[in-house]
Amino acid sequence: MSLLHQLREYELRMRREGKKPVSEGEQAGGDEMPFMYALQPVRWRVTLRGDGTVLDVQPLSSGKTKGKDLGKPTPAPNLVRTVGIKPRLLTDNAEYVLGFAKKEGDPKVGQRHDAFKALVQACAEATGEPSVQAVARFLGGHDPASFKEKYLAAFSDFTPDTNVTFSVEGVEPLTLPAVQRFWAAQFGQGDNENGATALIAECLITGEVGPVMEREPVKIKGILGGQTSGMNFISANAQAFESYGLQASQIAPVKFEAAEQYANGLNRLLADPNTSLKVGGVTYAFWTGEGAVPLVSRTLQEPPAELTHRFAIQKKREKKARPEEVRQTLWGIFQGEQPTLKPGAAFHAVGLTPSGSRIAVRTHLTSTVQEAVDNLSDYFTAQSLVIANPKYDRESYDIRTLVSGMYRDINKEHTAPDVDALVQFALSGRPLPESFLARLAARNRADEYRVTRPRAVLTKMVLLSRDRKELDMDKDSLDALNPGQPEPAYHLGRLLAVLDDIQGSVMRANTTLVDRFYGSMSITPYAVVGRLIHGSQAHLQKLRKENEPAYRAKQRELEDVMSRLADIPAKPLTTAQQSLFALGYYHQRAEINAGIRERAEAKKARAEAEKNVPQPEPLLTEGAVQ
Amino acid sequence: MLELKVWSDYACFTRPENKVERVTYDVMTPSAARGVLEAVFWKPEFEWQVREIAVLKPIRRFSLLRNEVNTLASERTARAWAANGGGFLAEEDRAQRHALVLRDVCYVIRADIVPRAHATDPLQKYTEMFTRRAEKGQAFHQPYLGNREFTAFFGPPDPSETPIDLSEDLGRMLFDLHFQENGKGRLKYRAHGEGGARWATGNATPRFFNARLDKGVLHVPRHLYGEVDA
Repeated sequence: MSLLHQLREYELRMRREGKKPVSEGEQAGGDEMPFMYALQPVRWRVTLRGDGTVLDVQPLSSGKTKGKDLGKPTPAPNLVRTVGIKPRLLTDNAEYVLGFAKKEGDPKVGQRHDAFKALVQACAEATGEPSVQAVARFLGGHDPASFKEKYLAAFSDFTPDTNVTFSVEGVEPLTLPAVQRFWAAQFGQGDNENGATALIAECLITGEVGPVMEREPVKIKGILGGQTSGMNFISANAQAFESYGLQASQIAPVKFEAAEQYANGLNRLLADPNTSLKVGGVTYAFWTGEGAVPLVSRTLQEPPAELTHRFAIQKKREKKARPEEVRQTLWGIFQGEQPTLKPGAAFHAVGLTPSGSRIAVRTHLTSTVQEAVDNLSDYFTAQSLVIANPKYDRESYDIRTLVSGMYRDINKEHTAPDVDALVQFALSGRPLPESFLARLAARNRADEYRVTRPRAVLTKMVLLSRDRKELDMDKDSLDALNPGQPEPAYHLGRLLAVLDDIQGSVMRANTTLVDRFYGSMSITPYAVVGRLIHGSQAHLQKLRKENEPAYRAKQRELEDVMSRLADIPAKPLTTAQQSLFALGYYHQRAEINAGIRERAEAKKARAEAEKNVPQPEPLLTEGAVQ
Repeated sequence: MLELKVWSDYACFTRPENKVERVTYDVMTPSAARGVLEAVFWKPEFEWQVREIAVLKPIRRFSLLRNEVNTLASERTARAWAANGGGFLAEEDRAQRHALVLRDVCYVIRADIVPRAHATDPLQKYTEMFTRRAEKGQAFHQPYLGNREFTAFFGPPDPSETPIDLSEDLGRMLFDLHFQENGKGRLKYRAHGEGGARWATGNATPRFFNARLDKGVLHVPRHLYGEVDA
């Protein structure tokens, strides 16, 4: 299905459900907005009598005390105005309405005011509304200079760039249905601003044949890194994009109303943090065919605490997170806040990036809510990995943290493709790119912290997401140390961790074994293993003399790892093998740390116990042993 | 019905609404299929009418950034360079654009040759010419899948290959452009008729249809051709 069609359907559904439209970044109040109306701040109201004479001018305030007061947000006719002269009906800035120049001596002010007058006149004739006729009469005899002198002397803060509206004998002409119909009829009637006849073509969204828009009526706002005034979805400003003599938005013929609907639909999604996600240069929007939208964006940005608990409980029982339980937890979280969530409803996601004043579509996914949540739970399950450092490490990570594992400084990088790949993996299960492994391996080699948990987690996710036939590994148990892994690269990683541990237990080196050898060991283990084993013998010897039980334990560990290494690969390790090397290293480190923690706790418990037991008298013979 | 298999590493059947920052349709459009067939064999005496497009490989999308130039090549400008010196510096006219394209595609196009009113030879002549050309790999120009960059390979289909098992609505898809002669038209194009080729002025408007993938096959509704004079 086409993206624009889906967006339009969403907007129409929201309107049917009575949801307020979004405009100018603010939530509108009350009922549905009339066609081509939007909330706009109006600062001044000119009150007229029925015969068109002025009663007074009233200031309208937004209530804000800080900054410039632009006026009270009011539903008023809206259009996209760039350089051309295009008046809005009955409410516009003072330049159009009253003919006051923003810049002294601007020759176009008169033209603007005349265009406004002509539009009101046309409206008065078409609708026959007495209030509009009164405004037209007022404009007919309006003289800017005397008006200013007579009615605006009291308002020192009057500026021509603020909006002015009218009220006639208590009637607001803009709220009249006839006026709203007249304004709506200004669009899609076949004539464009230059007076040329609009293209008659088949609308690519609705399929109806009729006049199509030349320019998009509503701009898209809220795209990360894009223009704040709004951006276009369909547009062609240069010959290179035009074809068959079709210009501007006519390259993709769309009816004016349909264009307004899809743009408002997207604006609605982007304005709500629950349906949009802005991360790493990409802006996402999520929506559904019916029912509520699952809280995908919030979950990806900040993995919920409930999931973390779930992982922790599972860890104790068995070393593997069960996707089924994570799925149920996710459903529980979503449905707790959104009871109208429907598993069978269509789920849509789109990823957008800015390109000048235009929007580029990076991703467009369509599935069901059930599938999306299933994939999301797989995404979180894939993150389950033994924790090496409980003090600093988290159970699951947000997208930015995962991506930053691949870069020295994420703020200086163009991360849109990576973020996009991760989001697509999270929502549709699409495999993560191979290039991630190369970058992670490079960071592991270069960074003094080596295999950090986010890096290990991402490595594991990539390995799980792809079917790596050339890599002989047990995919089901990458969560924690698995001595049964067939791939030697994994055990080489473990070996490095064990050797480093042996060194660490006899001396405190400024530059440790890992600092010195992680890089070469993870690429060409054949060249360094012999040297490392040889070097470790001296450490073991020292350990044997100083602390024999520790020596035995370390020796056992080393033998255990060495027994898995029937032969050491003579060729340099491939990127995939390097990734498994990193995981082996990380798992072994986590195992060693867990052992240390366990012993420390046991020691503490023993000390506690000993404190409570009265100390026996020291025996004389004990001193004689030394 | 004539058949032709086409395949390529990439394809981009650009959606008109995402023409600047391109996004592809999920499946080859009938007009792209016509373009491929015309590259292999075409004569003014007949037109191609695409009936079915079978998708043989799963739909995979791929994100691509390319350096493109902003302006169109103009013959008149090039002539001016030839006369007065100068030239085009691509580096000064760069734009980096994103495209969401298809990856690793393979289609079987099924289409009919429909002779025009001024054709004098029997249909069989054209069908056999096409079959011979397709088998030999002959083409007037190398066919491409949507964008010139995505060169296509072609040949007779292999009966053992079957379409993918996927049925879904693809939404409204571009069918083709409808040319209408009009003295004040925006477009100059070649029209072919009894008296040979001639230049015509007119307008072209895009036509759309509700596309649906039915067990991996896109059926092009026949009534579309009843209303279009290509």
